[in-house]
Amino acid sequence: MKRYWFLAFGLLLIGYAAYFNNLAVFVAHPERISYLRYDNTIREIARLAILLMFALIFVARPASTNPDDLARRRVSGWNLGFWGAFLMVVGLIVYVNPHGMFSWQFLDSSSTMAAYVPTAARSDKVTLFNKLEDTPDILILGSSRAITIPAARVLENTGRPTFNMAVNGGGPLDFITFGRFVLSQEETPQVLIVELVEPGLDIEDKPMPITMMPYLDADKKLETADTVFRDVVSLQSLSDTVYQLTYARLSQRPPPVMVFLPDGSGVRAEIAEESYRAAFLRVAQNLNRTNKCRQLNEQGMARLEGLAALALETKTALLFYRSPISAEYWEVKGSDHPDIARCESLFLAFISDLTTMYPNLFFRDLTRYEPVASLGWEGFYDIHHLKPNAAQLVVDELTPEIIKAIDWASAERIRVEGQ
Amino acid sequence: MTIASHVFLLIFLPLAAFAYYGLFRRPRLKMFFLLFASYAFYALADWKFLPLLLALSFFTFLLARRGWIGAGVALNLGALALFKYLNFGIEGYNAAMTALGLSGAVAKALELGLPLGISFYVFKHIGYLLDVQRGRIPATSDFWAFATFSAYFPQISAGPISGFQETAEQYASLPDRPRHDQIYSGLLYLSMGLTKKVLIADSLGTLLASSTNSVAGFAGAIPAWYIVLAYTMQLYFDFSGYTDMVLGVSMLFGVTLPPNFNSPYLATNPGEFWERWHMSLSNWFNYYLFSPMSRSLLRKWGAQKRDQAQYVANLTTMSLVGLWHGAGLSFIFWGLYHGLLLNFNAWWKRRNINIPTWIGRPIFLFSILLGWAFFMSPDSEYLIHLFKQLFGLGGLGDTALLLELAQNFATPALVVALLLTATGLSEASSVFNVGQYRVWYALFWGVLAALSLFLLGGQIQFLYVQF
Repeated sequence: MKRYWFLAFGLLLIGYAAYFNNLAVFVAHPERISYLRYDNTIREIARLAILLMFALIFVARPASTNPDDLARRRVSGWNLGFWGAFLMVVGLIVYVNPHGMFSWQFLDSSSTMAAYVPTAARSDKVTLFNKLEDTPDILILGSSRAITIPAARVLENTGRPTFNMAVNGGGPLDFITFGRFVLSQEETPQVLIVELVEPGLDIEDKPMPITMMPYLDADKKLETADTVFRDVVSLQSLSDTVYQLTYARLSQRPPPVMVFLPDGSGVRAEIAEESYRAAFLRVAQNLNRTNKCRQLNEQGMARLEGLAALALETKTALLFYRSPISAEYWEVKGSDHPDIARCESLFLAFISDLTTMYPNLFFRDLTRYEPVASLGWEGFYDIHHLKPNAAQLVVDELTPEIIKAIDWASAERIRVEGQ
Repeated sequence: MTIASHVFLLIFLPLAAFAYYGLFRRPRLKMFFLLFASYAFYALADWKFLPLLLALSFFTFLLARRGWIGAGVALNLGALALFKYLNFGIEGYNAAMTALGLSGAVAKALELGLPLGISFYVFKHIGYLLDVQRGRIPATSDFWAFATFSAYFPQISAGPISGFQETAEQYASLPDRPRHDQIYSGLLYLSMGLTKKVLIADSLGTLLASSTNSVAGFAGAIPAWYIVLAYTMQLYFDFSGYTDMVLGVSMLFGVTLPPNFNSPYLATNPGEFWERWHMSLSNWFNYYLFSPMSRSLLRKWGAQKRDQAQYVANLTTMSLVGLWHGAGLSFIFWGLYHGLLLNFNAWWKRRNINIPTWIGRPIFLFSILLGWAFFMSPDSEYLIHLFKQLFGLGGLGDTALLLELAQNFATPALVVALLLTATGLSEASSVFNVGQYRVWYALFWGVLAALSLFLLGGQIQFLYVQF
């Protein structure tokens, strides 16, 4: 009798899954479903499927005998089931590599993933960089504020091939890691342009793909190995694997949030003004937090100094800059707010010390650069993410500094070669 | 690291099992390996407190040898008091000082942290000391066996609390080769425990950890009962899932540990409930506290006050059971509440009042659910809100909230939990009542365990590890 309860529940569960997860819409109109919705549905279905298995296992009839000689076979059966299922799923995840943890990409990478998964964002940039025929003269590092900086405009203004390696949530760990990566190549860029996000340098480290392991410090190597291990055995990876295998291959799907050009520059989808207002308020709250600090993050400072030293060693110039923030923010917040002003002065003192110590270091602060800051909705996606016209203005404003940096690097490299 | 982590299940456990069976043949060497693995496990989980575990094991062993039982008990209780209860005492003292207007005399709380498993290994030590004192067992001269018993890695985090004699006897006859029937039982226990933990308990835990489970998050009798029921099932499936895993892991090494659960929600009265719920703890309290205290009170008050002696012993024991669970008034109230239930049950029985099971069981389950409502409440504001809603003072519940709860994955998980509990199939031992002897059944459990590993990404710890 107990068995039939579980059987009845199993059938109910299938109905439940179909009803609450809108499976009909899911199958018939995939274009209506965003990545996050898709992801949630796949995860929910996976959990329901396991729950269904768990319920149905109790439908099994009791065996009438207990042949002891079969004990070894039962252990083998369990091992076959466990390791078979485990290795099959892990193998699929590793093959599809949805989060860009590994160096390979057998399927077309989904740019949607890069918008949500930090490792995928980093891995995609490394893949694009590796596809370049020649090492670029100029490399842009930074956060999402620098993603839309057009490398083509830098090329146009300076005549130097440029690659944009900025990533979502980019911070000092990304700068030092990518810095070590590109400066360890046979040919190295002459200038690294680095966009610094938070004055406090207190940016949470994002997990790195396994391909960046050689360029990480020992503690980060361990952390990365742990992250990769846990990521591979996760429902999220399984769900994103299914996404990569199925949804991303469908012809009907919503436009991606952002696409990347071969030079690494990101092109974001246009948004409506209402979405801008909502995003403005959301990001402003975050900015209030990040613009205030009591002291600078020591690890962040050490990493930036490490990057400056490494660049000096390889005769590479560094141009640190801060991206414009919408003037509307300063109007509301007040740029003379004591918490913000204290953090600013700490940051500027640190940069001033660095520029004194390292002759290869240049700095421009465009936080309140009026021609861009005053654009509002015309120039920003929210409070600080730049639209193409604003990003172009930033490049134009930075061009004299970029040229100075190129001149320094060229002169130093000629001097070294002459010796 | 906990036993429900990828690192433990995919690296530590297979490596330890291969080394255990592959490198060592003699039971003594195997025991040393278990000791090494136990310290390695503890160090990986909580290395800061490894010296405390080592010191308490050593001094408990030494003091038992010298016959200084009181000193050994005081040492262990002192460590427990220092790490678990001191801040609770300081908070109480500060509240009293503030109430008396002496806010300048308040003391600062210490930031010591709670050593992993201290409530469990201290109780194992005290049980051993009291057994030696009563002459039930001699003080062991084998320090290594005692150290292995004290730190044994499957049970160090949250029990079950075993006796030295039963556990150490097994160390002397550890199997030199894997016994397939025992390994198979271990694998089934492990699979069932893991599935119960990640599929049922964590799904319910995710809902309970969300903003829905807050004063502002829910209103109405139906959501309130849903939440209490979900917590009831979460706690049971979490702790019994953990215990199944512990028993399973231990079986893989040829050591059988005592069970902790026996379908507690099928009990028909409070006494039976405590014979089925956290059995190793309730047996410990029964054996080392309740029984001696009852006997002592009977001697002092005489047979005519037998009822009163039992009532006092019940209330004292259950208050301490509550306090054992955590340093907080809500735990003490929960313990007292159960003491009152036991007393009421004893009073009822003495009067030979018979109530049909179909009436008695729902009333008893209702009282158990109310007890969990105490236990789960983080503060008095939540407790008052919850009780108001449970008794319908906030209406039945908003339709939107009910729909949201129905859509949540916790709902089918809750239904499976109730189904398993009601049919008596919620214990790992029950998997032997169905298709145990078929090879496909073993394969199916293997697949289920493997898939459950992919659900193991959350941050939800075993609930009882915190106690």
